[in-house]
Amino acid sequence: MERLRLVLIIAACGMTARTSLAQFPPTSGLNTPIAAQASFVVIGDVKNFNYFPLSATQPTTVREAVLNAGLFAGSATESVLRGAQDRTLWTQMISPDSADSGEFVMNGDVLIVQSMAPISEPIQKCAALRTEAGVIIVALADETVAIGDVLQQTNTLAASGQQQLKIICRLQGRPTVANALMTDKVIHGDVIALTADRQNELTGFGGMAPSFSEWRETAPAILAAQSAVESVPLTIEAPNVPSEDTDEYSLEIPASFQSTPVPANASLQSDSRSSDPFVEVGPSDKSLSLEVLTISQTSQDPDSAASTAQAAPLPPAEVPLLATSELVSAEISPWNLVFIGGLLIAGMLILAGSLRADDETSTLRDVESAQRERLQTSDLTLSETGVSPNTAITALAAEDAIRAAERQAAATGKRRIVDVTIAESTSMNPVASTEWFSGEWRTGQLLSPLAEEVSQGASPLRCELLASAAHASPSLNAATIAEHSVDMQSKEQFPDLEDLIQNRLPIDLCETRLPLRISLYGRPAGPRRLRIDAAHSLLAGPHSNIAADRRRDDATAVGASATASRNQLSGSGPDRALQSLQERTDS
Amino acid sequence: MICAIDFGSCWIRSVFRKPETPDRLAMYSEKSEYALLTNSQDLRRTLDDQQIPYADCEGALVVVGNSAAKAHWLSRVPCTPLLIDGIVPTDDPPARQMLSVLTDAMLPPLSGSRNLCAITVPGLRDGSELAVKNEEFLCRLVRMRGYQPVVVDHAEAALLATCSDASFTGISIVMGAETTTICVARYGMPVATETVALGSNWIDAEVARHFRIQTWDDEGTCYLDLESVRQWKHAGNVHLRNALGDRERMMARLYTVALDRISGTVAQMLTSTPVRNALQRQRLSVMLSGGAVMIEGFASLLTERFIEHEIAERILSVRVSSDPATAVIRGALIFAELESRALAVEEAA
Repeated sequence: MERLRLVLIIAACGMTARTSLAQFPPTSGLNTPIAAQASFVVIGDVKNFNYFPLSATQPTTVREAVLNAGLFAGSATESVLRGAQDRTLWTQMISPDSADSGEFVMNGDVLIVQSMAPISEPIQKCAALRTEAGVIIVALADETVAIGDVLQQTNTLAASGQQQLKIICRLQGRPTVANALMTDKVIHGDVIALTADRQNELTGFGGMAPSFSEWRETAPAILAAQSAVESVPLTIEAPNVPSEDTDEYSLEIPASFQSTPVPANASLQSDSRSSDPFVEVGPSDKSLSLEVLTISQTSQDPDSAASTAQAAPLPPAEVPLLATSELVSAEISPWNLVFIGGLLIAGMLILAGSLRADDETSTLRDVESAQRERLQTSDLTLSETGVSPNTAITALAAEDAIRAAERQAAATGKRRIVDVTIAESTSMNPVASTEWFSGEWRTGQLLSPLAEEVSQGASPLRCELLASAAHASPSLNAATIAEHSVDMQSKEQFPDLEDLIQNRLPIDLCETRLPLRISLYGRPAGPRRLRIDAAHSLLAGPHSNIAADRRRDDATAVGASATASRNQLSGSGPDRALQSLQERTDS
Repeated sequence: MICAIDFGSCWIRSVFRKPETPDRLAMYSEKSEYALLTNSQDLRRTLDDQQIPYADCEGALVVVGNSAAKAHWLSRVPCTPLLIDGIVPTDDPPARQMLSVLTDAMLPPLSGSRNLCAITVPGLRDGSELAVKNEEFLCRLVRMRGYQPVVVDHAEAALLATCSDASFTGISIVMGAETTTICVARYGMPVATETVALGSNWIDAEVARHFRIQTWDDEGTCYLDLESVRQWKHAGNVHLRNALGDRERMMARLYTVALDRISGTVAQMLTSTPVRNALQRQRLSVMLSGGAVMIEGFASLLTERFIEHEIAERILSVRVSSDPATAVIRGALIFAELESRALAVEEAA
């Protein structure tokens, strides 16, 4: 019955998974026209925040990229966001006098620059929005810009309902936000990420072919950002926003915004409804303007990148959310109905299964309580049962105590590694332990060998890893009979060990201080020379190693060394030794 | 002070926490190569003026590490790797001394009562005399700096750094410049480890040899121009699954050969007795690290090879780590911190 239930669940999930594929709109427009030229983005305290093209022939180092963007002060720190990562890969001090570390900028990188010295010049504040489609640079003309405004302006508000919203990078001194809200303020230098939950994508589901993901697999999407950004109709309001909401705002062009700084050679672009570059904020008389920089697909020169500057209506926080819900509701199609139906069926099956499991659990508890009463009242002796009644009662009492301790430990957050023997000891176990799949569907048995190792006195290092493993898999904290507490002093001793394991610690790339001039003993060998064997005009005779060795002398080097005569190569001692050494290295 | 250093055939990296900022990592990263220059007064003056560190050798000037790229334009001889084929060279005394200088500059100063350094050793670790001497030489360099060296396997370190969401259980594959290391682990403990003498340098050299990508020095001596192959490969336009042009197709074929051998090794490891006893038929996640896995389409190609070797049913997922270039050194630091705690517990006991 259990297997039948699993099969039904898998079938239902498979059906829903297939329909869910149909939920996505065709993305050929985003993926097929991969930009011919790669690019990266520089934002923060730089004079020219923009997209920059990457040369295929001459790679650009990080330092060169930041200096090209223009520093305001003498020195600055830059952080690198690479690929689809949600944390900065490293930070680096950069100044016109600093040495180049040689780290190259890669396609899709976002470089965030923060000046280390106070800036006296007026600075254009900016931020970046990273979506599955690419990176969009947002110029901030006001301190009150919220994330919802940015999403509204970039037409990503509809997609944000199904994806996770994070602020993955901020200038130093400000913490990142794992679950950002629409009302959170966007600050200068922020990088907002709108990503899907990767954990769900990485694991396969029952298929024979494993699923795979790839680092930098989103790079083509980032490459396609330019075309994607260009296709964004930068409207002030979403097409499906009710008119009564939008009618509340009247158009107005604040004179102070006429001179909003725009990157060099950037051109204005707006749709018919937002022909006026700036719009009044609304009833609250609150104004802001957003500039969303786009780059022309036909021109790869950042200087010629087209940009769009327009004012955004600052609606109340509810307005974007309302618009989002209506956008979603407007997209309901027959495939959506099929998808929802499949989800409902799967949910009902899971609910029925869990109810049945609860019944079994309650039945097991009844059996245990009846056994307890029987043991307390019976006159069974050790000779009849093989188990002393007192021993059995003690075991059951110990079990209760352990469960209570476990609940208490769970409440205090203490991690433990536990052993599971209940299901194995009960006669209601439907699967024998000898069956090959017995250890896969029951989480308890996954843990039992783990606990054995702990009980057998594993090393502290091992215990720490096991503790991390138990912490990583909540299912391991199953019903217990014997517990093994793991010393948690390590967490106190290394408060950031978990951060180190989870790759949450930022990396500062330091410059190695080598002595300027030293003397070394010996003669350097130099790089390995290319040797091309001459064509064998005569085959060596059979069983004649001497002849074969002699024929090796035909090997000649390309270039000037090829002009050396064969006699010279084979005649002089050092050359012969060098040749012998070369052959040994080649072999 | 607890630190880690990764002696790679392409890069040498070290990482540690500064005592004043324990919530950040400090990293040194130097290319493991040197540029060979003619010993002339003009070049010496140029290097002095540009503040480029250099060394005097018999009959030549050498510039080591990242500075080699700055001084490379002064010579037409391509850069020389410090670790040839992943082995400390026995016929190049200046290279060994340069390794010592780099180690000295990249390890932090000693502090505290316990100074532990996890190191990764390049090349095969097959127990041969050459491998033992190789490891002993690098350990001695670390020991001379005052640290107690702890050798950790590349794949095991990468497993600690990248497989926390899989409870440190799975297959870790690190494809480096000279070797590929495979580790099957269960809850962080290696069950089986294997090293294949195949890396990205072999692929680059074959491409350069096939398409005659060569360079000549002033005397007309010919060398393979591996650097230009690497730059072309890392420009981001090469995709192993959608190869365009002869060179990309050649690259894809070579990667296929390499991954075929790696998949065969994984298949053998999965059928070995220790793995069968420890993991039975549990499906495992595969985590990829190392510089060579950063090429587009790598995971997809490896998946295809797994299917070809009929071990796909044992694989749960194939993933490239979020930081493939630095996963090994970060895992080595995790190993060192865990080892430090284990030593403390042992001493207390």
